[in-house]
Amino acid sequence: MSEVFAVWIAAILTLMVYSYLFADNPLYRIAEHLFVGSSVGYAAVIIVHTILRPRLFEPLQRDPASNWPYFIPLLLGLLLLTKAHGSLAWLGNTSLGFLFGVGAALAIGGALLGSLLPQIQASWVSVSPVTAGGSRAAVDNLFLAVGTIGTLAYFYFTMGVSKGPSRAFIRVWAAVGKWVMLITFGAIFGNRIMAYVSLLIGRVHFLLGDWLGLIG
Amino acid sequence: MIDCPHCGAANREGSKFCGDCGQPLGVAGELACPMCDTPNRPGSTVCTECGARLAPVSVPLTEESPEPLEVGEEGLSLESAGDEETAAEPSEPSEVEQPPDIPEPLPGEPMPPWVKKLEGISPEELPAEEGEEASLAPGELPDWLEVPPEFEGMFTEAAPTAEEEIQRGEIPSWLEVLRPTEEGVGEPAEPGGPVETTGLLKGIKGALAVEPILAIPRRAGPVSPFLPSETAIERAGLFETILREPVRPNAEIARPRGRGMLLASTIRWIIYLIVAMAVAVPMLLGSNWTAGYLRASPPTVAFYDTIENLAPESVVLISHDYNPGVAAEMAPQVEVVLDHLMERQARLINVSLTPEGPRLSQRILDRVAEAHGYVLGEDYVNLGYVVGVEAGPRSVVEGFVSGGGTDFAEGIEDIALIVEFAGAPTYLRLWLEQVQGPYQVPMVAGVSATADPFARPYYRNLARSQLLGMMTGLVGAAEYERHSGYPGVALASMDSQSVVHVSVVLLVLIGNVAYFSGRSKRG
Repeated sequence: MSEVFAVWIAAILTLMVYSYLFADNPLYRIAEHLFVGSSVGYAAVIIVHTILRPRLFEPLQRDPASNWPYFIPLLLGLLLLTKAHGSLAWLGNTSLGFLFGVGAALAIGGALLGSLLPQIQASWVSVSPVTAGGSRAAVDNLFLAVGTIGTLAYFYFTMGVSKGPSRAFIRVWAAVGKWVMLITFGAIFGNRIMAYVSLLIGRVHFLLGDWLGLIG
Repeated sequence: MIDCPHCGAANREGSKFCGDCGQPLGVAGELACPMCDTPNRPGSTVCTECGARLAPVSVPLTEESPEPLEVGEEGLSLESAGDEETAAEPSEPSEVEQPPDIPEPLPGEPMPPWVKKLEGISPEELPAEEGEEASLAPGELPDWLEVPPEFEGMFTEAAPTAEEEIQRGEIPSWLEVLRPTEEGVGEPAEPGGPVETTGLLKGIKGALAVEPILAIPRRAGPVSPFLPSETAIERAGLFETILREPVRPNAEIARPRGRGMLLASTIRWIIYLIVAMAVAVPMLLGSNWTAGYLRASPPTVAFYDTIENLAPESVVLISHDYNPGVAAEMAPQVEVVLDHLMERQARLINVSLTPEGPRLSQRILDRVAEAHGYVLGEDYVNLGYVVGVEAGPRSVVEGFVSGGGTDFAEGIEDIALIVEFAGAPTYLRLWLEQVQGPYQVPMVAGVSATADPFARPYYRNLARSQLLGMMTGLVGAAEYERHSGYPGVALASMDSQSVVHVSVVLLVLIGNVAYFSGRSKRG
């Protein structure tokens, strides 16, 4: 019974959202506000029941003597709440500093080891059919190299105003890079259209199948 | 307090000279006795204190500089130095260095007492003046002033003249050009300059090389007229038109009135109808004609092969990092991959970096697990939401070591594969940068179509093999189903997906044709 009730609510809310096709209207606004509110409430419940209670409160309640280090994150978390009070907001600076420090250290180190250096290494490719593993792979690598160099040349803004062969060389590569980026943006746009169509298919499948039962 | 009559500075009572300017204090015009310094009223000829004559030898207190001495035929006299020209001209040394003679009394005038004291004293009896050399007998000098015999020759040699002394010294070139010559002043070699006419540097040329142009006010040069191009003028005109256009509410702009509004609304609804029909009709018909033409792309095949090559009982870490907004794309991927993993008898650890992920994945997990006979806690676990952004994935893999969560693995080295389902590229990067890169764990990813362009370089990385396999969106799930031989909801949706894509392409073409034809008609 509850399953049917949930399906009906979901179907009605889906139609309320699609009412935006006519124009901005109260039905759409109600659905929008319900979505935002329920998302925040759901996240709060999840954090309390899956993070704070099992990983912080219960260990402290069970054995405070041996689990005393848990008081440190508890104190830092409580200090964060002072950010809502103007005169006491400075008390939360320590917690924010800890968060930003750990986050920045992990982000910089991870970006260096996980993205920057491996991607630089990945751009070092062979354009020879012998070493690249075939003519098709060689052409693929050639496009990759040309696209990378052209895109980098497009963002080379410190050429100066002098005219000469070097400037013309950079301009030619910049033109190549511009077209590479345009094609990339087109691919991103096409993927986004495909994603939205997939989402539409999912909603129509739900309405026709789960709600109306027209699809087996 | 006594105010100085020369500079106006205040001095304490009883002061005789100004503390600021050094001039004697007193009433302007008073005559000071040269012998006893007694001030006398203006016009006095004899000092009222000692009887010395004041008229020829006295100096008014108002003078600012001492008057050079002039020796006349009648004797020594000090005169006023009020004339600036006279004061500026240096006097001959012979004139100022001559000792003053005692004035002779005028006939019939009584001799002052101080003159009478000097009578009868011979010059030899007068005390020696300061600075005069005193001749000392040999042996009267102290030992430390005695000149040793070996250095006596130095003092017997002729003393060099002042000019020779200067020549021997190391005079810099800039100072050498300023050396006065017999004709006057040495000409500066370079640069030239005006000759100083006044002051201490009078007669020296180029001493103060002042740029003459500084004294002449510069005149601004002609400004070249700015001639904007026609394109710039046209753009400026358009910008001015936009600025001057009155502000209209958005509703007025969005809604054309009358026939135009009806036409625009009709076209919009036709497009909506076409898209809706393209999605719904294949579903209602249950057609599956694209399944025969669909071929799995290499990234999807690589994804499949990676799981297919897993050993039984391998521990696989699965992260469900998506929200309800992209669940329609991600859920078919999760379902088909879970099905494949359970078929390979893998032990599954499920986590999520989004709050909604555990709930969305749990329903699929339960359904697939039931089909394969998997037991929660024994064959698979769901650790739920992991907080911490960058620290989240790290805490997951390092939590195995500290015994948190599950006993499936004691450390990251026990993880055979990481399967990431990313609704946004941010989550994929978190796992790649925080876990795959540092720990070198094999990893595959299913991403939404939106995240595909950002995830593909990691799969394309042949040098590091960051992603061993990848599938994209609903199409990727359909490819996986087609390749694995287990058709599901993704493959069944491909007819709708294909028809919508063809419809969108046709609508774009029709719209462009209509636009350009209308533009050519308008000229």
